[in-house]
Amino acid sequence: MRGLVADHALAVVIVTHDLAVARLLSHRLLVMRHGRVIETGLTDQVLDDPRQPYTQLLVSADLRG
Amino acid sequence: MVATDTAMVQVTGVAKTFVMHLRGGATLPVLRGVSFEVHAGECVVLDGPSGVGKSCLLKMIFGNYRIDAGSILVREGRQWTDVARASPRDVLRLRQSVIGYVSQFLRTIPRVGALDVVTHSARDNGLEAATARARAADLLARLAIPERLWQLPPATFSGGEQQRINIARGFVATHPVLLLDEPTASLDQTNRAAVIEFIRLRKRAGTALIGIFHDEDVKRQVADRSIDVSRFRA
Repeated sequence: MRGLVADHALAVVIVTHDLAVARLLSHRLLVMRHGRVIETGLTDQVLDDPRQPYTQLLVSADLRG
Repeated sequence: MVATDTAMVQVTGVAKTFVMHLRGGATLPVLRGVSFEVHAGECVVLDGPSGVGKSCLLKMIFGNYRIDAGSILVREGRQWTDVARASPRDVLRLRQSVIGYVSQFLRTIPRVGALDVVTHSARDNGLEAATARARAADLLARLAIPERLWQLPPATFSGGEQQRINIARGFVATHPVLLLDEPTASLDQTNRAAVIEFIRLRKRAGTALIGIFHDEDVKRQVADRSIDVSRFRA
């Protein structure tokens, strides 16, 4: 999918709970809770240095880190 | 704001505190008042005991960790970009063309072979396909990765082999700023010597390098100066 995005200049929005998928496939990340975007930014920045309590909870629940 | 023509990275008044909401909002101050510059063709070593914030500082320069105060200016041709305030797209562009990073651990897409992993990195950096592949193959050979492993995904490789793929991925591109987080930690003598040679070549080519090296011998051979990170301890 990264190949498709790069070769055909596609814009892709993925909805996932799998943080490993989010990390490997996406450039940017939006974390949503109760229908609202609560944190957004560069994918690795949001996952490695989460600020919002809910994002910290989400990241800490992921077995692969 | 910009001191000299050869400065590539300018860190000014940077502070970082982690707030842990799952621990009742406990704060963990890590660094404050971090200021230094790194020039083209120079290798600066971040020194200090484990846990003092050396890797944290590299991650902040790469735009992986956010900062609470200060600025991190990186030269992009004639222009300067503050990594701390740059949009995600700008940080991604900087990582493509300006800032390279060899992390402590390899993270790759499953089922992509080692040679392709390294080739992709060179392609991202703007090299044309055939050149990228040739350079990738040359680096894997110089890092003594046996050719029978080149088509296999690195996930199954030994720790030392994975670290060498990581090094090849960082050095195959020609970013003018290169961040190295213990690149020689799990390498044998021969491969350590290869990495030292890569660093010297990059210095001669005018790359600004910032590295963490626990190996005293490597440090002595590559460092132009060192910065004691413990003096920025918060």
